[in-house]
Amino acid sequence: MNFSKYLKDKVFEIISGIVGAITVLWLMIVFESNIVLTCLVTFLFVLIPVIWFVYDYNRKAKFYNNLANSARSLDKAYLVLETLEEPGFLEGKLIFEILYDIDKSMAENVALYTSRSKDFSEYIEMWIHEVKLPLSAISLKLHNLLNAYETEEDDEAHATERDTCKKLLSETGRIEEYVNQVLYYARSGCVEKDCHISKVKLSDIIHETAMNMRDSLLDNNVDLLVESEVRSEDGTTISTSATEVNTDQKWFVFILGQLISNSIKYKKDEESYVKIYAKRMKDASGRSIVRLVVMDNGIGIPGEDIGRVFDRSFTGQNGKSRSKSTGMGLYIVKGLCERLGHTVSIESEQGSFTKVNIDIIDNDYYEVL
Amino acid sequence: MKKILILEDEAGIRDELVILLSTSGYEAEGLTSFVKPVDDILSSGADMVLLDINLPGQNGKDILKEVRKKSQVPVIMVTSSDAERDELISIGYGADDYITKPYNPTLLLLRIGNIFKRMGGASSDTADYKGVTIDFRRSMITDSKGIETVLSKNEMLILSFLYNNRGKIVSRDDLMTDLWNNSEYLNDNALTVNISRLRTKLSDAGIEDAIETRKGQGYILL
Repeated sequence: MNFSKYLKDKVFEIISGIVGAITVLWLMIVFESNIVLTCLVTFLFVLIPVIWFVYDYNRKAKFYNNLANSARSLDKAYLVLETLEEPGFLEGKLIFEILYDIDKSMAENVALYTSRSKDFSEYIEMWIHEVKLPLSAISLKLHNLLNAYETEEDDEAHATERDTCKKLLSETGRIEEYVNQVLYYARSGCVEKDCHISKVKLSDIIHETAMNMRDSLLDNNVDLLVESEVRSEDGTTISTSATEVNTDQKWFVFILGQLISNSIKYKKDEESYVKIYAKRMKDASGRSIVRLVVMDNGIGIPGEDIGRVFDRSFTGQNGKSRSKSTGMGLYIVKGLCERLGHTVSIESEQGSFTKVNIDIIDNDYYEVL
Repeated sequence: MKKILILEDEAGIRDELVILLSTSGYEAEGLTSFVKPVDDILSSGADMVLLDINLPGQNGKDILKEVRKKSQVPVIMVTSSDAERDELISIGYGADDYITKPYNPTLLLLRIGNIFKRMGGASSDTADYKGVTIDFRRSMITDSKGIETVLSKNEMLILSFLYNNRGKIVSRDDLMTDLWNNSEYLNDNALTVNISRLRTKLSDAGIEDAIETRKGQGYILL
């Protein structure tokens, strides 16, 4: 609100004031009033409205401009009332009260959905722990069956059964993977969920991931290449077991697992590999970071899709040509990275490679808390 | 044979665990009644206990606390969620290891093996095998004439795994697990190549056909 806009809004009052003043002046001239009195009345006719407009403009502008500025500058615009004083004029009071009522009703509504979504995510977590029991039993049973077939003296016997066991094991593995994905999806959206940031050895994260993904990598003939040295910009190297990062190990292991599982899904037919390495460097704003890179020599991502791979449910061309895509993996990865205070980015060239970088800020324990 | 006692209330899982551990060279027993688990553990004479945290009646944490008053038997706690595991680790109940469900059979066996290995103390640095000295620490073998042959890290890992399981059939999967567990992320071909190199080096040292292939099952060091 500025004064000229305010005056434009008051154009009807101004015109009627001017018409009134001219009429009075005309009457005074017609009735030949005293010239001094005429001048005085004219002066007052101008002065009083000007004072009144200035006064009215000031009190309204103060309230409305505060309201507008606060609403725009706060990242939670609905908290705007907390920053304002109740105004002294009637319209302002009315608006203030109405906004208060709206806020209250919205807060109640939000509380309802917050508690529903909390209930839901608690239920999901519980459900996942329940469903893991029969899954455990199934995979143990299959493992034992396979073991029994494999230790038989006659290695031609039960060849089909062995094959079936292997297939079922790998399918069970897929179910476990999807179940885990749901678990972390529920976690990434829930603020108070169990994320424990601590100093973790990079080599421990990579090793745990490797052990988890072993069967999947070997079954799909994808080689895992791990560089055990972390290179700094000045050329010095330090081992991954001497490099500690602030993160939550199990979350990070899940993230790496998702990335490797993508590399497996979108591999080329032969000589596929996933390479994991890390380097110390400065990020765009000059902070020192550890960048963990997961790079593969797979089919890559088309240029027009790469900007959207972290979007929810985005599958792109690769997803359409391979039915296994849900479009959730990278979305969840991004969500978890944000919760952990890491930055994730992706580079790719179609037909040759995909490279995912996770930047972990050094020594910034308190910033992520 | 080492005896492992399993406290797990899900019958489906318990029975399979018993089979898994029995076929892997352990004596396994599953507890079916959880009325007085602490006494059962103490009187079982087990060399290790696999203890689920969520049991009917007394909870795994309390059981462990009471057992620890009287015995230092190794205990692996089984938790059904990461949150539980974190809580346990931060409090330090005195468990020797923690495993989160679902059980990954390979990892479970690995953890059990690691604990027994730790208990067994440091294995000796060298071993004699059919007139050849295996030096585990310096990663080399010395034949009867004193000629030394250096083994690569992978070859050494394979040889020591086979040596520690002498006379038993070792599956490719077991070897792979051991290598990966030592951060050597080999693929199938590389394993074959390493084994054939190891065979050549052993035969150069004078031991012919030390490693036998059992088709469909794995390898055995005779």
